[in-house]
Amino acid sequence: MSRASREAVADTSFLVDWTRYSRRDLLLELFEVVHVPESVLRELKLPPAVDWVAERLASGAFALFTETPEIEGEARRLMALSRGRPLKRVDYPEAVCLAAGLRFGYTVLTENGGAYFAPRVLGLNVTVWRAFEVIVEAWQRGLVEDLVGELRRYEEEALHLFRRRDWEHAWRLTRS
Amino acid sequence: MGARVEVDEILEWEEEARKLRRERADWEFIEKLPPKLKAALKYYIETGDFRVAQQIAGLDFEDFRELLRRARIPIVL
Repeated sequence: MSRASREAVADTSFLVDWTRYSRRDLLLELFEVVHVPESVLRELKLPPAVDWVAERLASGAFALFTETPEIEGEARRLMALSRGRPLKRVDYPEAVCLAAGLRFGYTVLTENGGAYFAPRVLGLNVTVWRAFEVIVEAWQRGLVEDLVGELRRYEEEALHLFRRRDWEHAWRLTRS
Repeated sequence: MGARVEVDEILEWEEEARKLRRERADWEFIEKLPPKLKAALKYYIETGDFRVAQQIAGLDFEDFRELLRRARIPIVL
């Protein structure tokens, strides 16, 4: 797992599932600030995601990320690049987060397959985490006691399943 | 060599995810949906491409994610 920045940028797929998780405020202990792009905020409209994000923006734990022409241009370049690779497409809101991660060094938070595999397939120097990496990091910092139990809790609450190879990784970590 | 490993991992993930989506889906619920929503869910189960499936359904991001929950189709990643 690559080293994360103290600042993150989150896309819609991450926020919508993460807010279903009862221990969602763990995120605030791992990052000084989580940036939320305007295009992501526009997609949030239902509780609990829109309520949680609004509350965290109000408290200063989250910050609105304004998309500049430079970031939009980089996002469109990444989208075009992803079309020609053995990769799920990277679409606009996710591409903005990757572009912000590249430009400012933010850790990108996503549950989008295209965005998750983009750094390795496209050779991008950006750290991308899913809920899996967030929970593992929380466990490594002592914020979570039972890693396997916490991952299972996330799966149940978010209706989101981790891959077999992720479970194998988690079991190796807890045995070492 | 590295690129080959990435492709293998992506193919393995896609196959595992497709299998889980097919197995966990509430097919009785899906079959009762209007054609547009049914087509979108079947597309999602086969491909895992959220954005295209969302466009087929003609729904906003969160409405489509809620539809996946009601149909018991997991996100696998």
